[in-house]
Amino acid sequence: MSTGKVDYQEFKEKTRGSVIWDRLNPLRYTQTISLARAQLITDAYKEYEGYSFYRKRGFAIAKILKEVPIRIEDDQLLVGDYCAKPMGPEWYPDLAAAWVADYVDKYGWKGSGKFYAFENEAEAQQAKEISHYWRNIGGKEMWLKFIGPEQAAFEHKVSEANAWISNTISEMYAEKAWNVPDIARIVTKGVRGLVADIDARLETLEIITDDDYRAHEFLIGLKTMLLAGIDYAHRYAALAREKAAAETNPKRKSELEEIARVCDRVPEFPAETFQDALQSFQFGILMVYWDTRTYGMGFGRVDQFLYPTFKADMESGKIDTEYATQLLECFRVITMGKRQFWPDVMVPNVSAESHFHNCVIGGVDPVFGHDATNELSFLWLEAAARVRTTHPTLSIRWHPRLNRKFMKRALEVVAMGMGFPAFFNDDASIMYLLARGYTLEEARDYAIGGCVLHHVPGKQSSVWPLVTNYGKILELTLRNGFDWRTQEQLGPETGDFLKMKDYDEFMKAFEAQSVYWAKFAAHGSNACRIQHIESFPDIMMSAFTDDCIKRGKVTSLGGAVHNDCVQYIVPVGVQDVANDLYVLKNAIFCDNPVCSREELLDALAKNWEGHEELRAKMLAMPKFGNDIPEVDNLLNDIYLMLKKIWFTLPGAYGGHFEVAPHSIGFHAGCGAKCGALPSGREAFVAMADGGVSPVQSTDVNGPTAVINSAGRIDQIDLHGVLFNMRFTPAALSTPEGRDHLAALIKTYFEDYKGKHIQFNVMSRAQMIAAKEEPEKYRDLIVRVAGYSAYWTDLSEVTQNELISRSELDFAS
Amino acid sequence: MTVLGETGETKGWVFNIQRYSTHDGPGIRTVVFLKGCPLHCFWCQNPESRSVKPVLMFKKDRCTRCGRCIAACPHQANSMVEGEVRIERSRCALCGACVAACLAGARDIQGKIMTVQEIMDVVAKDMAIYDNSGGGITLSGGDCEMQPGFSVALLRAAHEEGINTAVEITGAFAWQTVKMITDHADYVLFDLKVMDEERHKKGTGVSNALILENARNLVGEKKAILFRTPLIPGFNDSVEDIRAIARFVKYELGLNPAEHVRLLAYNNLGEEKYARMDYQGERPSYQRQSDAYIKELNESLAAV
Repeated sequence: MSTGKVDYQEFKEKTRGSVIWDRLNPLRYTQTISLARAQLITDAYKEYEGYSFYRKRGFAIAKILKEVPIRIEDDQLLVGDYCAKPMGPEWYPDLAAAWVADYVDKYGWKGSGKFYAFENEAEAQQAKEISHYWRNIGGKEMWLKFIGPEQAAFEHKVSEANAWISNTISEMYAEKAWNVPDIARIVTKGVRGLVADIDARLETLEIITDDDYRAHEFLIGLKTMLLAGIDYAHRYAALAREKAAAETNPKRKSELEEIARVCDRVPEFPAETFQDALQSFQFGILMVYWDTRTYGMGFGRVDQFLYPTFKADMESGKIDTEYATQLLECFRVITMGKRQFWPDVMVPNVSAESHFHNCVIGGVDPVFGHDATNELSFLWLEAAARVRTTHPTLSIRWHPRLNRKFMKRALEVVAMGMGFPAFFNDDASIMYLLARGYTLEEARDYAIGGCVLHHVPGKQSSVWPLVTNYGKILELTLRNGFDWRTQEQLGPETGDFLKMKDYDEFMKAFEAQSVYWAKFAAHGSNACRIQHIESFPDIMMSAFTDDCIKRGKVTSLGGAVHNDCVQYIVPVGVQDVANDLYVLKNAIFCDNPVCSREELLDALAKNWEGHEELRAKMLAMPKFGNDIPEVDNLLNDIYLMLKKIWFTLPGAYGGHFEVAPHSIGFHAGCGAKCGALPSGREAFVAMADGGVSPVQSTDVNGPTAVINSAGRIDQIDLHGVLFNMRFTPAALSTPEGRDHLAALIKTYFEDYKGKHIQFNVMSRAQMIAAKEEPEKYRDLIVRVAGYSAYWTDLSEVTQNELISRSELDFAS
Repeated sequence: MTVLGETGETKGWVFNIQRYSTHDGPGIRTVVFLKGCPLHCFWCQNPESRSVKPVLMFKKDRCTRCGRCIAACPHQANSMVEGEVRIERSRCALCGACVAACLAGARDIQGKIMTVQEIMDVVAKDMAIYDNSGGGITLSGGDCEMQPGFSVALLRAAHEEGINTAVEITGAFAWQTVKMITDHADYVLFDLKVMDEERHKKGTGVSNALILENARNLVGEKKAILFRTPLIPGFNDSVEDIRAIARFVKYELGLNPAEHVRLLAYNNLGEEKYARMDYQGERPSYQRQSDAYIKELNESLAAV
């Protein structure tokens, strides 16, 4: 057994992570789809037919962990793969199956040309066979049968494929995580500890109701998965040993021997060393991944739960900061191995490369509220600066006493232009959680799920987001519920715009449309969620969520102690709508209207063609983001209305729906299906991004005005509010420039109680150049919404949207 | 210099208020640009500021040639000549009718009378940002010394709100005026263009004797002060010119030049403004100095 220090000095010049990443990165463009998981789970379902559903899931995921092909990358210190092929995507037919058969029929084995080719014709046919097996039991397929063909047709009509009002249906392609399970407990308890909890529960479980029976089978299924995690790690240990035996380079040999030692120990037993801890954590993530895929799953407070082993190793001299940083680099690279296999309909809305894994650093400690920054917090920044990958993204929990040196270093990393770290405001986030019944200690321990969502690790279930296009709802209000795109009466008749007597009547109609679509979406969301009880329950995640084991229920189906903050609406286009309402209130429903309502409708229908003067007048009216209270407060009004509507809609298991304005990447897709709007908006361009960012190119009074406008929006009771600013590289190239940025952040957080802020540091000229010659900019990273992406992975609509965002420079 | 027109204690001529300014004193600041300047520097970046009177600016690249300005003007100052809108400046009464009529945003009038209160309403918006960045208000121009009563009133109003104040001055006024204004400034930004008197006259239209005298006086008052030198290619950007400034600052004022002199690389951001004003004279065309050369000049500055 090798426990000595590993020699790593050769990587000091070109860092270890970049060496590995340079090898893997090109595969992003060429790697083919892996059918490993799809085939294994299909075989398992056949093999274990007749077992109870949860037990069958347990056997199936165990089979994957025991049989999925594994490998160890050269120079890697960590192991555990997201795919049987390096940089390939896996397909989850148990989540949604039919679309893959359609995909093969449409494109053939070579796929749609983006990333999604099959290896050859035979594999494409294999995929079709798998798809056929799941035709009645895939998650989406079961759901469609559950809601019936009529409802399914309507859902399809209003989804992004058509009218793009609401997207319950396509959300069925994306499994749900978006929360922060407390995977850290595998690090401290080990699988054996978790299994002991299950055994204790089983001992007291009397099966006297059907719920008890389900609990029993769930616990057996979970235990089966957990124990298979030990086998999974031991396979890596064996592989590492085999490689070590064949290795001639003594340094690499010792690294491989160390990997073997680590995988023998974890995740089975509690981690002893820092490398144990990080490796155990990675296995924990992967065990959830092979079950339900971990889309948008937060990694939690990674500088806190990994600190005890880090500190012990540093003190004993087992590791130094260099080796620790290399381990974190390795973690970054291994996370990049996770890919998405999406249907076409998802691509314009979210980057094909987006995984939304947030690593939170900084913040306060839960007990006393003191600054929690430690040496490991700095190393996470260092690793990100060294290996320029988009994932996992870093988020800093900001509070007024945050370590100044840490903040300084964070802003230097921001200036590198990768779009992170993002900043979250402790005070505002903690207030939000306290208002939802979390204890102070829990609230102070929050981390980030998805892009910007406040989650207390291990307390909440996985999450069900919904997206509603409010630009489109305004359009429907103007046309009495008629959708010009599908040429159908999709919404309720809420009144003829030409006959409305005043602005208040218009607002009542807008609210009525909003209520109708909110009920529609909430109903669909609840149904999806409950229906997953029979298709895609998040069993493995339940090991890391209180009180799933005690209750004998999976996290999203009543197992989690908190069902708040887990079902929510992402309202898209609300900033656009605020500008529209200003125009309607002050230029249409007023004494001397700028034009007749007939003319306005005609201008919108014709996308302003022949109405250019009218459009100029509309564009010249006040816009959100310029520090003008009259228009900014209209956005407050909209959020107030949305809270009123959504907070009263019942969610599953006693939760309610939250309003979470962060747009993800949907502002591009929603905009692309929305026509011209009264504010002067042109048809089909992207909507405003985030929740309080101004509509692109409409903020003309500079960054302080934008901060004041965004800050004017009352954010405490909103679930994560994304705010994006773009600066030129020159603006942040000096310490003074970064000091100014720090002052802006402090003002937005401390004075205004804003929740989140992030920065794109990139000039418009660079983006235009990158659009023209993408081949030269394959490594260019930009911030989209709550995630960074490679420029070349973004759709054209999203690229144009980014180019059109206002560029903030420091005036000379 | 005479105090002009309608300026006074509570009203003055202003041509711009720029929030989030980060190079005009400490922290993040709001710069209030006052009209009028005693100097006529040939490289001036704010030509619209020179006169105390307002100026109509016309952005030809935005003009859609729709002719609405021609119809709107009560003085027939606009006409269409060979498919382009022309302005007969002698007819223009600066009434603003064409600005209101233009849908393309191609016209605006630089310079309007504002009250202290109106300005403070804008300045106060960023109060929290001043507090957090150590910023405040900066009076610039032109030269705020052209409107001394108004400037003092603004600075006083800012101090009453607890806002840090800075002024950007040429120093080309009688000491009493300079003192009256700087007494209310927490920070002074003071231009030193070139030490040679003849060249100063040639480049700016005035001697630098009074300017240098005022610099000595200000240092005597122990004001927090930063001297700034805009580097104009071929005019004042030789190593010897910079050394001369450094010697003056070090030996006559007793200050460390590396700390108290900021060299500003040339930029031609003001060039398009000349065209918008229909400026008839010749305009020099320069390139910004290379970063390496700026570094060399900064080293010369520090070496004295």
